[in-house]
Amino acid sequence: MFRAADLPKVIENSQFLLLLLEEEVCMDRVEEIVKSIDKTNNICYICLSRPYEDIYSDMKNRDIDLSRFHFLDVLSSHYIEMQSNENCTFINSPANLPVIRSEISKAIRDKKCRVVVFDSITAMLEYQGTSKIVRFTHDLLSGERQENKILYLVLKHGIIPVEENEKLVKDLVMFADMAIDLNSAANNKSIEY
Amino acid sequence: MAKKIMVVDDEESLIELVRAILEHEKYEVITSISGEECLKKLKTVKPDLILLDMMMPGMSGREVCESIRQNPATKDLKVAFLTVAKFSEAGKGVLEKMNVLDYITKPFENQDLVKRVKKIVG
Repeated sequence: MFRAADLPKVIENSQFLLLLLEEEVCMDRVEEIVKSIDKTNNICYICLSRPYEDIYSDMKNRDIDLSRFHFLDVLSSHYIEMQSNENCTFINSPANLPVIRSEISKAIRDKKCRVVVFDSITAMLEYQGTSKIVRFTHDLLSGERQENKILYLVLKHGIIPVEENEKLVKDLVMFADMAIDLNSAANNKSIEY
Repeated sequence: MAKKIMVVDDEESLIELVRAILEHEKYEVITSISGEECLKKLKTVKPDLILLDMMMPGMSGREVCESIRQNPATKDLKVAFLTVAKFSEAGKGVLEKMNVLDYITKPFENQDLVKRVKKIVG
């Protein structure tokens, strides 16, 4: 039976997790997730739902230690040309999976990131079909060492049709160590997925 | 009468390889390059075993298997996965719930494929 307090241990013992959450409380859950990650682990945070500047600002307001983060922003460059900096690499398109893959590898290698967070994998459905996301995920998992962790945030409701989102989650579950409904966990209810 | 094996994979080269291996063992091989084509063919053909790839454009192998199990006309068909995918323990649990009889990882040894097919269909 899973409890919210189990999250740090679950993250520590897993390579790939699906974390389901409601969009309205996304940042509350992100804060919980980040605080559950071992403080010695750097985090590669992939901004798929909101731009880096918004997420950075929200995290700063919540006193999250941003020195552990390297961000990959796949949205901002869509609208204006962005210059990558020490904290953030801007990728020209969320559809550019090979570049996203390559930048993740760089973050793991050069920034010593041990945890990769996709915020959110649901948002990627706006740009890619389920089968491409599943294959991308499988290749990412196969390519990275067991001690590196991949966390996919899955928005339970949003602009993506429920059936499409559910289909993606059902396929990803085939590779995931666990799929956890964080809203149920936050309420200290046992969860099953 | 020869046992019928349906091979479902989006990679034509893989399909032809598996066809050659299984036809050499005197199986009759039916092929589909997509989950959608597989389900269409199952309306008229009842194979003794379906070898499913997991990661395909369109319907995934998981989705195809779910559809096979939900259809009263096909729910008892024997299914095994033949895939490059490495399933997690959770994934293997899903396969078990869907009564998937085996999962063979690619690349495979020809004799191992034959042995595991024979174990299921004889």
